[in-house]
Amino acid sequence: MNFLKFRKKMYKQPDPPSIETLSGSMSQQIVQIQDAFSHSEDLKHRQLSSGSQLFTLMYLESLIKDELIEANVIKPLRDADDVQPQDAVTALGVRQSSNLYDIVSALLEGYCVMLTDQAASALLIAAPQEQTRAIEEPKDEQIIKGPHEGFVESLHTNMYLLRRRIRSPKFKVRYFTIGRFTNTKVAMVYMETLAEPNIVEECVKRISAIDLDYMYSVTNMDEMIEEHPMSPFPQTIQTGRPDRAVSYLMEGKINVLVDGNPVVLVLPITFFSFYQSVDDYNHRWIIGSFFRFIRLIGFILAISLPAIYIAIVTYHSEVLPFGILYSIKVSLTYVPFPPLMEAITMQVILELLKEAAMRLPSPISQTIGIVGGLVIGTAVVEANLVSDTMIVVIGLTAIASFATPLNEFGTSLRILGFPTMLAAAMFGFFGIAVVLMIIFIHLCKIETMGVPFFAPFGPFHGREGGKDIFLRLPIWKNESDDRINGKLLSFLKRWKRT
Amino acid sequence: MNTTITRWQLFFVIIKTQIGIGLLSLPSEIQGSAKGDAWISVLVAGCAIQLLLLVYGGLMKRFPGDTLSQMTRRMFGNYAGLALNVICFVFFILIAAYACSLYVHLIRTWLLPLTPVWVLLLMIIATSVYLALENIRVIARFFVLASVLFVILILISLLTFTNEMHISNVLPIGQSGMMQVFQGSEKTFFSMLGFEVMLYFFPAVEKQPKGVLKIALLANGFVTLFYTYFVFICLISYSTNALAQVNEPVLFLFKGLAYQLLDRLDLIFLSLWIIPMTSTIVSYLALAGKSMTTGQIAYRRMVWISGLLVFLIGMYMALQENLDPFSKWLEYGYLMMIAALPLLIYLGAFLLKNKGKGGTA
Repeated sequence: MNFLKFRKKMYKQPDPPSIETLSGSMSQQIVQIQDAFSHSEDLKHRQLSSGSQLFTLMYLESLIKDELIEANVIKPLRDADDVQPQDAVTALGVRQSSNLYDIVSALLEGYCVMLTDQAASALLIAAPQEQTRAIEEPKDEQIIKGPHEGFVESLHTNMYLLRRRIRSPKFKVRYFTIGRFTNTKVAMVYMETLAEPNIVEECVKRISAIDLDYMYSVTNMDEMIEEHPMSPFPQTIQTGRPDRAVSYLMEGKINVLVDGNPVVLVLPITFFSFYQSVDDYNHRWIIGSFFRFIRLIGFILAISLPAIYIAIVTYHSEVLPFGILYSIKVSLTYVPFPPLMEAITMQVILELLKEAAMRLPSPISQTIGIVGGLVIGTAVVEANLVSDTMIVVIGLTAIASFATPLNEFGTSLRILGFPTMLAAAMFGFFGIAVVLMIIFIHLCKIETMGVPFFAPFGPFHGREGGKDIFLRLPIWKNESDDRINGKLLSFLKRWKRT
Repeated sequence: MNTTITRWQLFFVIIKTQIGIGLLSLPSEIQGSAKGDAWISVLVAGCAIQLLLLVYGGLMKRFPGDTLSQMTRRMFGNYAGLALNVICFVFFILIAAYACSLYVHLIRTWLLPLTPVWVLLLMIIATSVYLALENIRVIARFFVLASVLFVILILISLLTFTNEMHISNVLPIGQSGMMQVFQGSEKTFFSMLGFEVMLYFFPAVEKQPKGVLKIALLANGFVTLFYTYFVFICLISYSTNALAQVNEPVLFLFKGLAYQLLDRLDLIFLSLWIIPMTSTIVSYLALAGKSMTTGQIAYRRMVWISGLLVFLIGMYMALQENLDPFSKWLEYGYLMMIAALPLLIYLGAFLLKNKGKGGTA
């Protein structure tokens, strides 16, 4: 018992922000820093001399860029005679510190530390190595028309992608460091004049309150700040597209970036944001609106289509006129299973195929596509295990759920399809109505940071709120008053030059 | 109270509570007395309610920020007030249970003849409690959202105009005489219950009391017209004899419609109608909670208890062969409560004008 307690204590022990300072001679200082790093072997030190002075450079070899140290530190020091080292060093980020905690965290950020015999303080010189892949379009959020850039794993590059799109002094960044062991850098970005101050405050409060040993991903962050963990609906958007992220900033929302993740977290978000795609805005508004409308139909289909089918064939076959009923009944005649079984089996097979094909290299996943789609699909029908109509219904449902611009939401929808199917199999239309009611009540219930999730419908905001929901109206209709000098742009005033 | 609703949300809360199960069987019930003039009965009942709403308006002016339960306490003192509130609570539970039993009966007749009563009741009440537990704002949000259905229902109802219709069924207007029309409106009155939610929810309305009365009158006006419309369609679609024989004439209207892709529109209509019917029960559960408590935590507990009571009483009612004597008693008792009690408080407030204001009684 005691042993366990002790282990736990050991494990939980964070590095306390020590107020220890550097002291003693240079060699003592080196040992002090090495002690702080438990004598890790990638902490290198190197002696240097310039004129009469002796220096020691300390750095973590994996985190710094050799060329930078060579060019900015070693070479200038060699060339200089009797200059203060901070004047000789040509790096951009240079600062002095004697606080051991400060020095340790600087080393971890890719600084190199220069110790001298004279002073009990160290010079911290930035020479971080940034290995990042090239900026490319995120695979799960491709679009047809428009910019093809995507976030990468480096926080700096991601900030660059955002800043470059909004060149405004109102673009505000706040940094946090989260994770007692990982010390992950987190940036919260918003537009000072557009974001609601109390939402910003609430967000800062929640992020600052996070106390974790590690922070790996944006999803960790999401789980720490979301309000309704039991809800099937995601309440934040994770997007890998800078253009999308920026458009949310301009709506007064907050972006949270976590270092090491090629996605940003957007909050607070509403239901209908999941049905907006960047493509809508890059096409003519009629086309954009049309596609958005199709996607919203997809939402209803994904939740209720298999359920409606089950309800009709099990309980309410009188709803169908004789012609259609006949062809459905014929296809059902030799199927030994109840429709619910058929539907659930097919849904599970579909998810299995998806899971199997997703992570395989593409030549193998093609094989799975053929085996799954053609062989299982047709053979299952020919063997009379599943009816034709059910295949059509499940296929349609899957396509409808994949039509959401964000994959995560589509998966939630497919999961919600199961309770609906179950209710339909037990209670027919009544069951579907009740489950849909519960889903919509739930949508009305949840709020993120005080913003109702189902706005502008529950609560109904009428014309102002409903602008960008079903229809993707042209930008001169959409631009809100306060952005353009209090004047609403209109169709005629678009080109007005004053 | 922190959670406020807008005036338009109150509008939808009122209409969602008023429109419910009553409408489906209304035409055949009224026509028993008013015959072809049944639609006039609906209008008369609507007007009577408007008058009652004026009294409510007076109350709201007299006691701004108080719900009915707070008003009774203020007027009659703590003990008598509490007793009256308990009576209100009992009535709300009974009405909810009665509505539930009718609801279950309807579902069993039209959709699920073999499903046991308790399962249906449990589903209805569980859903209602799930919503009623929340604060008024969430309830209002859902009601507004669900009101989109009324548009769909009205659109579906337009399809019935392809049925054979005889306008002569309602002619000559005024054929059955004043007394018959009044008797008919008495019956209508009970299908239009639900406006009393105003007495409990108006303190939550933003910028009250300005315009709240107007919204309530408007809501009731809308409901009256909605009912008149459906009663009228039924009247011109069926002869008096046919109407006397069907229980849910509104549903029968749709039964005859057939299209290439869909048959039996009545089932679709009924499936959509499930949502207004459940909303009514949500409102009564919320009223039951509000009538006894003020705080949110106590309110939630009260809603749980009410849900349980409604379930038990609803079970009992649904298993009875004939509820008519009971429902008569219930309806008149309830009428007494929502008409006489506010009237009494209103008159009492006049008499005690000098003492009343701001006094905690």
